[in-house]
Amino acid sequence: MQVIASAKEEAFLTQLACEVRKHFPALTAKLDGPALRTKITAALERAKAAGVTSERDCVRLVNVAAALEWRLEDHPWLDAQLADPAVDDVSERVRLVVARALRDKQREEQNRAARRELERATRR
Amino acid sequence: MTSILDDIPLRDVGDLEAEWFRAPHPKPEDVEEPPPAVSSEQLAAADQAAASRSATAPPASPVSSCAKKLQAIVITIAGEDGRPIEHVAFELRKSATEMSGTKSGADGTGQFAGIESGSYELALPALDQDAWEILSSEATVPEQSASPAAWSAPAAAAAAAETTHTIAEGESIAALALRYGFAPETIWDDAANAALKEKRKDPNILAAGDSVTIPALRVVARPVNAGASVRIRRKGLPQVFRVRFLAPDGTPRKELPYLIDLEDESGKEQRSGTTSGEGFVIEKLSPLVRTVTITLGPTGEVHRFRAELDPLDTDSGLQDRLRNLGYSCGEEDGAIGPATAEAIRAFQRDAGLAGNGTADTPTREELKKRHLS
Repeated sequence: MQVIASAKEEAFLTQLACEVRKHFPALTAKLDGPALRTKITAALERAKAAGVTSERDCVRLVNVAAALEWRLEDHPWLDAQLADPAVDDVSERVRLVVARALRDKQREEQNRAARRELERATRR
Repeated sequence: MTSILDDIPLRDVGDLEAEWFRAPHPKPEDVEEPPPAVSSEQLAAADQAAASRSATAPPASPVSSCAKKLQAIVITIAGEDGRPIEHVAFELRKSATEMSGTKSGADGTGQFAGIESGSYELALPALDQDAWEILSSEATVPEQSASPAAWSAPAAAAAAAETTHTIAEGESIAALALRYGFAPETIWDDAANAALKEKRKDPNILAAGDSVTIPALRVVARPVNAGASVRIRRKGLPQVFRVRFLAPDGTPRKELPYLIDLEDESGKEQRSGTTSGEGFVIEKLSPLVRTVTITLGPTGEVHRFRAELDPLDTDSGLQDRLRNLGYSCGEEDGAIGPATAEAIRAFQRDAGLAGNGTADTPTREELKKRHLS
């Protein structure tokens, strides 16, 4: 049983690495296989420590870790959200983490677009 | 003054009028920013792909899961302008002894998954009954595989009680309403605040040290059904910020591109726009935004405004308005010194008033007229 579990785990990591490369090509371009697996494993360990158990939630957190360019220590809100006692369901905590990461990304893009718009309008 | 936003019941934070800023300002740097390695579109696509994975079985599980299909309730809360509101606590009550809690996220949404069909009660424990309303409830949430929701006993609620809040510099009734979970008018119209209302007139212009009675919170639970997508409106948010830019000859500085910076606890938000034909910048913002920075495109001049003002009959309120109109009061804040007296003299001269640097009644009246608040 243990052998099967290890093989499945290995297959899961390989598949996840492929998906991360597919979704985030610019971010992963300079990472070789072992380096990417190390980052994914670290994100999965973090998920496990926060009590995240389902495959879907683990993958969602790996995606967020990638979107934050693996620098989770620069985003203390993430651990606070994953441990928020006001939110009973762990999957809901993960969903809130994804919503926050997405909003921050969108705001970053909106701010950038606003600065460029000012620049463009000023040149006219 | 008539606002183009008059069809939305929002409060003004104060109408500010700014003349041409006298001091030279550096232009924003023309630096080409490198694009981020990951876009929001990529994260959204990756998250969507993750949704097809098991919501109940652990990763690499050697045993496949036979999860039961259960229902969910999705709650979304937004302000009067439709923008999502974060960090609002939701409680779903199954019975007097069973509840589950969550909060609204950055998208304004909280979700209760893994629940059985039936009717429940929804409470917003940190909001007064008059601060929120259900706009719609539609049976649009499909059944999904999920672990059954965990229900816990509700915490013993502390008895709601009236409290007193002493205003700190820059605070307004709108900011208190957001902080304590009320609609602004619930606080402003409370009988215990009648004397303050009479004295200050404008709920957005209070003085440091003013005492405001915060009424007892009235928490209410409203019925919701499993499978529903519920839209809630938070009343009293956001506010409207208005500032008018004028040239030295008093003509509006119209159709100028600008960048506005708004910063609150959720981070910095920048928006671009163009001043109106009358020289106005009008933006909706959270009462938590304290400082607003506007960069005008053609010159790169930077204007900083406090979103909340002190009353005009206070020295700090006088200085706020002089500064906003471009009259420097130096480092003086809350006490009239030589720099403020010189600013008053310059204002009196420009306004055609006879004056000696003292903020007399005609001067304050003219200041109110030009500042629009």
